Formats: sequence, structure tokens, C-alpha cells
Amino acid sequence: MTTRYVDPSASGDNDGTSWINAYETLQQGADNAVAGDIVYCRGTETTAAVVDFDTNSGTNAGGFIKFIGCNAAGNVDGTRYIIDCNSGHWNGITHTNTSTVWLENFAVYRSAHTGIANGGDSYGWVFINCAAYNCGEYGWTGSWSLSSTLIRCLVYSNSWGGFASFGANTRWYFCCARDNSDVGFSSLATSQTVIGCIGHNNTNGNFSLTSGHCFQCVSDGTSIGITTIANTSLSASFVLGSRITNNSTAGFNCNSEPFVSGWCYFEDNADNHTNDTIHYVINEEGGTTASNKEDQADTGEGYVDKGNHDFSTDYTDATDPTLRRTAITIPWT
Amino acid sequence: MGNYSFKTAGLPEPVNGIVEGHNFTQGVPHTTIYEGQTGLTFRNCNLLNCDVPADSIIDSCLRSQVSFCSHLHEPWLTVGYISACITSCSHLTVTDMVTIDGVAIDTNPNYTYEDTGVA
Repeated sequence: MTTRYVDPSASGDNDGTSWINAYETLQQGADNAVAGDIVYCRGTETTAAVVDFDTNSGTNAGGFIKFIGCNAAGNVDGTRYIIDCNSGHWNGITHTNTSTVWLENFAVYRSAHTGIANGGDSYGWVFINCAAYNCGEYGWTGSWSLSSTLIRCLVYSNSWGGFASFGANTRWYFCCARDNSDVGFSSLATSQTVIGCIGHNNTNGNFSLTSGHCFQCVSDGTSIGITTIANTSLSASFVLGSRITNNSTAGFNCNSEPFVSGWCYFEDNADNHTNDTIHYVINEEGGTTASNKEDQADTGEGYVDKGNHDFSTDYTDATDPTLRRTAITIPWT
Repeated sequence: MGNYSFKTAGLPEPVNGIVEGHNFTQGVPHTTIYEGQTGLTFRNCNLLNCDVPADSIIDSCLRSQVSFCSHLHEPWLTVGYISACITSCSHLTVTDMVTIDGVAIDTNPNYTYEDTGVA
């Protein structure tokens, strides 16, 4: 295992062996690191071309190749390494035919197209605390890549969607998509899962699921909170324990068969369920539209802070499970 | 921080002349926003397809101009964010011939989602 360094301001030998001699570009790190290596990165890099991870992969035996953003002192504290595409080139970061790579604490902005483009025939990539914003198309895409895992990642103010994945088994944990010009989370392949994620104020919907699974998420302030897309698979879409609020057209648009929802909380949606086809509903609560399924018995479960739209539940009934009383921390920045 | 995509009215008021952290994406290239205002600074905004007042200071914003293809952005066409393209629009990359037993029976145009070559 080799520890390597990237710093665009480094003035030494630029061979990646220390902060003083750090590589000047992330591309150099991507081209040289091999399985088991850790590449620490600090600063802001203004790029003239996409950073392309198309050379080396991690392995099961050797471990991930880890790229980790650091603060100015070189410490890992959540500070992101920034790729500034300066409105000049297509994608910010892309990768093709590489696998088992770990990106932690990275941000990409001002790419003409997608911020982080998880390319074809890649698998097993992990993204932690990565952000993509002000990009001309998507923030993050997984085009035919398999088994990507995103943890506490953030996409906002992108000109098309936030996250979109065409590859199976993409997992989003505690991620946030807000203020994008199309859909926040587009799950376009089977067996994709969003857990504890937040979609807020995206123009054309927050979550779009194709046999996707949505657990304890928040969908707030868009047109349709959660859309389930009709598909030919027998794999159901699930939405469980989620908070669906302030959506101007509907909370759910249920186009898939089958679709299972339960223990969700609805508030201030123009309608809570639309286009119900084969639809299995476990007790839900909230809402006032008489024709909808939320008028089943109030279970006392789900998110219940009706006056608070900042997603902090602030619920004090000790009889309710602790998890439901825990405020949701939003990675807004 | 806010999403003002496809809007030219009801935009947020500048704070001390600064507009910061918003998404102003427009469907049509060179759509004017904040028309008639002066002395503005745009910071960390998405200004895709936007034209801002000429004296504005632009700091860390996306400034690309893009022509979106209505063949591949049908929802945006439906709600009027973009206009309808003609069949042989600038996004057309190739037209495949559909043949049966060597006889051409149809054509199948292929488009790219957007054209980033807008001046």
C-alpha cells in the first residue's frame, strides 16, 4: 500500500510522495494509484478536461483505491477537494471499466454536462460526502455501472437531474438532492435503494423509482414527491416510513405494479396518491383527500411534526420509537 | 439557495446587490433574467442559458449556453420549457435506415440530448 498526495499548489517534485511533492492534478493520482493505495487530496483544481479514472482498479484482494479530500492542513475533516470545471468542459469526473474505487470528500461544479459520471462497465465504486452542483446536466450519473454506493452525497442546482442511475444495485444512503431542474433521484434500473435520503424542491419530482426501494426518506416541495415507474419486472417498488410533504401535484404517482407503501406521513400535498394500480398499502397517515388510502386509521406512526417543514421531527411522544423522534440532519452544503 | 429554473419572474431580490447560490437554469439559450437591473453580482449560481445584465459581476457560476433537444426532453416540451425541434434539428446525429430483406421501409433518427455549441 502506498500513500500518495494531490495538491494543485504543490511546488516540489510532483511525484505524489508527500504534500510538498504532491501531484498537481487528480488525474495524476488516478493514473498512478493501484489497489490498496490511499491518495490524499487538498485544495481546488481548475480543470481543462475531464478527470478520467480509466486505468487502475481496486481489487478484492488488494482493497479499494481510496481518494480522500483533506483540509488545507492535510487533515481529513470533511473538507472537500474541489474540481472546478469553469464552464469549460463536458463531465467533471468520469470512469469507465474500473472498479472498487473510493471517493471521499470531493466536490465538482460548473461542468457543462455531468459533475460525476459513473461510466459504463464500472462496478463497486463508493462515494462518501461527495457533492456536485451548478452542472449543466446531472450532478451524478451511474450509466450502466453496477453496485455503486453513495453515502451522504449532495447534488444541487444542476440543470437537469440530481442523481440518476441506469445500473443495478445502486445504493443511496443519507444523500440529498435539492433545487435541481428536473428529478432529484432517478432510479432507472432494478434493485436500487434510497435510505434516509432527502429530495427537496427539484423542478420535476424528487424521487422516480423503477422497482426501487425507498425507506425513511423525505420528499418535499416539488410537483410529484415520489413516482414509481411501470416496469415488466415482478420486483415491487417499496416506499416505507417516509415523509411526503408540500408537493403541488401529488405525493405518490403510482404507475408501477406492484407497489407497496406503508407507514408514510403525508402533509400538504395537492393529492396524496394518484394513478393507483395494484397497490398494497400499510397504514399511513396525514392528508385530507377523502378518496385516498391515507384515510385509513391513524397509526400514530410516521413523521408527525406537522408544523415543522425543516424536516426536523421534533416529536416528543416517548411511546414512539426513538428513530422516529430523531431529527434528520440535512447535508445542505 | 433556491430553485428558480425556467422562471424569469419572481426571482429572489439581491441582498446588497448580490445574488448567491441559486439555480436559474433556462430552457432556451440567452434568456434574460434580472432585466433592467444594474450593479448585480452573481455568485455560485447556475446561469445555464441565462443572460444577466451587462454590468453584472459573475463569480463562480456556470455560464454555458445549451440548446436542448425536444425529441429527448419531451417533458420539458410538454410544459413549455423548450420549443419543439424539427425532425432534422441541430441535435440530429445520424439517421438509421430501417430495412426488411434489404428494402428500406423507414428511417430512425438519433439525437443528442443537447448541443453545447451555442455561442
